[in-house]
Amino acid sequence: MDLQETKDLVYRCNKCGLCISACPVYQQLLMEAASPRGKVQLVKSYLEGGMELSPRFKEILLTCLLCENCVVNCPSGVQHDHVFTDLRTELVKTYGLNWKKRLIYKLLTNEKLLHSTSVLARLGRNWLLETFAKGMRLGNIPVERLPRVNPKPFRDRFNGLVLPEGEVRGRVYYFTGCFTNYFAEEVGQAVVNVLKRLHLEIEIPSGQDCCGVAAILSGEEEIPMKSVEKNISTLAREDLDAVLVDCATCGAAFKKEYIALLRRKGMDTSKAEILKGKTLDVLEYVAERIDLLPFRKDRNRPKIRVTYHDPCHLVRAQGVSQAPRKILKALPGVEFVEMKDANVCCGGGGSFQFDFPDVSKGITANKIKNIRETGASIVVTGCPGCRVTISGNMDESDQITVLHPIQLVDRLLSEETPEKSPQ
Amino acid sequence: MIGKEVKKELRAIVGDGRYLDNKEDLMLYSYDAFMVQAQPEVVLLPITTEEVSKIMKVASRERIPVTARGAGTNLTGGSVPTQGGIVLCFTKMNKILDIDKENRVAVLQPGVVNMEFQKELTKYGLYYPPDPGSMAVTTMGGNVAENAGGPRAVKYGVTKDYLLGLEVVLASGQILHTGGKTIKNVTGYNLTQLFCGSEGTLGLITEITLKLLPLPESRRTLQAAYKNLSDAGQTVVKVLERGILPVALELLDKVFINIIEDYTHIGLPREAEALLLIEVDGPEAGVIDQAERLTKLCREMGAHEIKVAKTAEENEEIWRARRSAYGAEARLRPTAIAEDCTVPVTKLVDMFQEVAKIARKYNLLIPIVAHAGDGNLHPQILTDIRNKEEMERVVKAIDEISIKAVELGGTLTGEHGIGIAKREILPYEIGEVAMEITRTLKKAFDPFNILNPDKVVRIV
Repeated sequence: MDLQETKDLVYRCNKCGLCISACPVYQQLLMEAASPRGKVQLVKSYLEGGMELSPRFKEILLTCLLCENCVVNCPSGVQHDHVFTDLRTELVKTYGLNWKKRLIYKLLTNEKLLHSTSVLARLGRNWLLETFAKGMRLGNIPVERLPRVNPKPFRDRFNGLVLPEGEVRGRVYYFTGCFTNYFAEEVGQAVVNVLKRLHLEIEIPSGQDCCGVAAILSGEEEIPMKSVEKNISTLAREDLDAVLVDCATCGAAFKKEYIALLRRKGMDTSKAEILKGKTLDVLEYVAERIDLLPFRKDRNRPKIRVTYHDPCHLVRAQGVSQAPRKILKALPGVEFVEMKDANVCCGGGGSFQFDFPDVSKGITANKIKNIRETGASIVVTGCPGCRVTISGNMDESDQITVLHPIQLVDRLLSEETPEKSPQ
Repeated sequence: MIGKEVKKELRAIVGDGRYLDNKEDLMLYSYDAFMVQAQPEVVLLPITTEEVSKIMKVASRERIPVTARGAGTNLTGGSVPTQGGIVLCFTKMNKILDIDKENRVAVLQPGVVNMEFQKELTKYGLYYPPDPGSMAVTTMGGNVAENAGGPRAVKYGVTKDYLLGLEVVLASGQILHTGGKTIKNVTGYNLTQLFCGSEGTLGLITEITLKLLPLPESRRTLQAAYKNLSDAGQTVVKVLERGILPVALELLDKVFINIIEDYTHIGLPREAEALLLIEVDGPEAGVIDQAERLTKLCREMGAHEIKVAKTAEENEEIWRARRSAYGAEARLRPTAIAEDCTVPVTKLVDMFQEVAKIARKYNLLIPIVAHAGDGNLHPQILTDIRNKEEMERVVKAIDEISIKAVELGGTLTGEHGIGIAKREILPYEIGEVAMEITRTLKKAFDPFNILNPDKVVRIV
């Protein structure tokens, strides 16, 4: 692999240290190894031949949420995420992926296998839960608080195309992502309901592929390729108004990671650029059209206090921060309250929370403290990873519901009172 | 070389998690924000004064060099362990021990981050003014050891002006307490101030007592753009002459205006030759009055565009942008050496011209940001450490700039310290008598020359 770009980037770092204050992992560990600057210097030393890809090197490189807070706080323009993903790829070549991750990524990127496994998984999860999983934890999350598997995959409900009532004002593709398809049908249904209210034709083919981003960010180059190529060829279409995603991470894959991966591999990125141009987070799309939604404004009831958490993959990877806030401020009956450090990572970081539960725990505790301090009864965020991490780490006594913002929009449109989510 | 048995002893003092000696971790403590690197043999992260004392007893017995370090943002190599040995990293000793609102003092451990401290004080309506550019990450132990300054020095002074007392672990491992909680204290020699700016060469700071101020009611920042740099420089002199006391009075040259704008996109005037950032604070009415007087004065002095921040956010945005200067310049060249020469304010324009001459002479890119209100210039030598030939010119240019500042009645370094960067030219400013006393003091506190050896003054 040509690491030239990474070489140029590491020489941009003049070790000013401003990234350190921006790094949630450093704040927990207070050691240079945890800091973005330290990792960049380590990579530089490796590229200069002064360091091997040792187990400690690997551990240091992986002790990172890829939350990109260092990237946006770096005056020198070192793109840490680019450097770290490049090096993760080198590490995978040396060490391979551990078998569990390899299995999961293979499964995720094999749609047919995943589809049939989900039936088994549903049985398995429920059996596990109901018999002896109480008290067991995955990372810091008690197993009984992990999301339940959908009775049947969400996309199986549709035969590929959903039509609105009345006139048709546009056509969008709804890329549900794996999470909505297998775990969060309520989010998928809310997205469909809201888009129908906007009079859109919605394409939801049952045979969508995983975005593959989990494997890509682990540094795996081959396993995700089939999904990447298939997604690009089916979605980079000029006839669509937009490709909508409800998952911040899938959005980051389409807008950013696919192009980075193809460039790393020296492949053509022109079609990936088209996909990037078509992709919008559902929140961006709805925010632009929030005035078109028929909310009932005459209801006289106490306002629901709601706060918002910025997913790393939305606020930094995609630069989207105003759209969700615009939606929340426009919702009748909602009192939107900003939490402290809303754009700081929740500590999940994909598999980070399972690989480094002790570090993750402190970061998540800060997030939950900030949520509690708002006095909100609902926290919304457009990333399934964040929702699992936040709701999984809440106390039993917390009467705080964790939702996708679109679920709140949908509930207000259908005039139901939001209640505690099943997660 | 630290022997196996001694390493075991050191490890036992702090425990496994806070003892580091593998290759990767040693590399990570081989640098600060200066360009020289050198690896320690072990890194220890103490959390109590007792641990530091025990470590020093071992180091003293075994004659092991000990380099103290906080966040590693030093710009003169002060935290680089040039003789190997132990790096004592204080980042985990980061508790604010007391904020005493009635007596208006705070007591804290050395690893507390400047900005975290400031944020905490706001809750009490209190204020600690020193604001080094690295304040978001820099630790208070380092601030005291370097006598850190910052833009607000014009009105509020620097770290030493707030320092009331210290707890220090000496080279021998003995624990020294100096000063106290009172503003007035003339009991004995002023040992407290001796450690302030000693750059870790006399003792290790383990607890700090600071004087605080009430938080100013209001503040406002004004930006004035000039087509002519010397007009901007003259404005600075006039501001002080007319009895206006701004909190900060910063000057950016054209290169810096553009570097910062590239990074922040906050709408700085790219075409200007110089930009003044002037902050005033105090009661709201006074602030408005000062801002108006300043606007008038800047216009009189030739500013072609003047903007006043309207909200606290706008204010903070400007200062965040200013603080990004050191990092942002790396977009032009990979190595940046931050110069720190300081002259009387009336010599500011002369010094700007001298730097420009030296830059031409050595064919180097040397843009300038300056804490103009206190005469502290930061010419930034932008270069590439991999280019040997250019680096030779850089070294000559740095010495000439520093010496020129002294000739103009100024000083080698206003706030970055001597470290290794300016050690060789130190005698030029302070002279042989002061050098001799410096060496004598160093030997009195550190007879075996184990505390940050090689820094400030070399002991043979």
